[in-house]
Amino acid sequence: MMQVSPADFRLIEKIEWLFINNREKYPEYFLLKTGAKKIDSSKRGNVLYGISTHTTLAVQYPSGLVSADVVIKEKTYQEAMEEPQIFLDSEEFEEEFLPDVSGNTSGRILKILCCRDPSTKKTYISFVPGEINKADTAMAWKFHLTRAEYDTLHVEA
Amino acid sequence: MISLFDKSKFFRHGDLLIVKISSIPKSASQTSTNIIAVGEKTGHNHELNGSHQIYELGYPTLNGVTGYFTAKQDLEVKHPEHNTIQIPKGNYAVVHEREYNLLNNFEIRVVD
Repeated sequence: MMQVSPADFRLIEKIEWLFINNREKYPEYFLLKTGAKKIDSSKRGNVLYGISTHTTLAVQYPSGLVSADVVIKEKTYQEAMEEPQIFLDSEEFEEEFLPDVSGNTSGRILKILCCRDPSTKKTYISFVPGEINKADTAMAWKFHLTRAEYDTLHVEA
Repeated sequence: MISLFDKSKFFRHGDLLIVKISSIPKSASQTSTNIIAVGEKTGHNHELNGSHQIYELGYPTLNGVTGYFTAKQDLEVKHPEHNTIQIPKGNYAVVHEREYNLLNNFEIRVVD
């Protein structure tokens, strides 16, 4: 079971909302808005991005307690709860991409795969499990394949 | 990751993966359609063009298989938005693409 803070959970809900509203028509906007950073790309055109929740986790509660273990940006509790969209402005976050800390309760790297349909050339984005670090492995996962099996998949339309 | 398919041939058609298998499971039941996957949002279906028999499960399996078909001859898989692909004679499983749900399996840490 993954452990997250309430602020973390609310943020992920917001990211999910942004995802649902932009995945069909504006996938690039979603990547820009969430400050997604490229982790890996493949010759097959698959690109794996990471969205760090570290940059949004540092929430200062009224008691003075800071919820995140890694403090990058300090925001007030009210800002975090009432205006979480301010955390999604990519211009505010210019930090280097953080290492994968899946399982750490202080935050996560959300992994999102960006791929292009071979027939329509349309761009699609979808979330994949946090432990995946390669774009082609992410694509293999989407189809219940091993990476070796995906490498043998040549007929795509 | 452990392979769920045994050195199979794979064909991707949009959000579907078509996997060559040795035989159709006995639990699958015959249907009288040429649609192997319904386009739930767009209404655009993935359809077989050629002599075939489609089998349905009624439930997804652990490896994402949602149905099967027998190609009695080399046939085509068609869809309005995707290029047509050629499928050789044989038995096949139909696997649907999956997605990771961010909001599953969370345990919220209470801060008071």
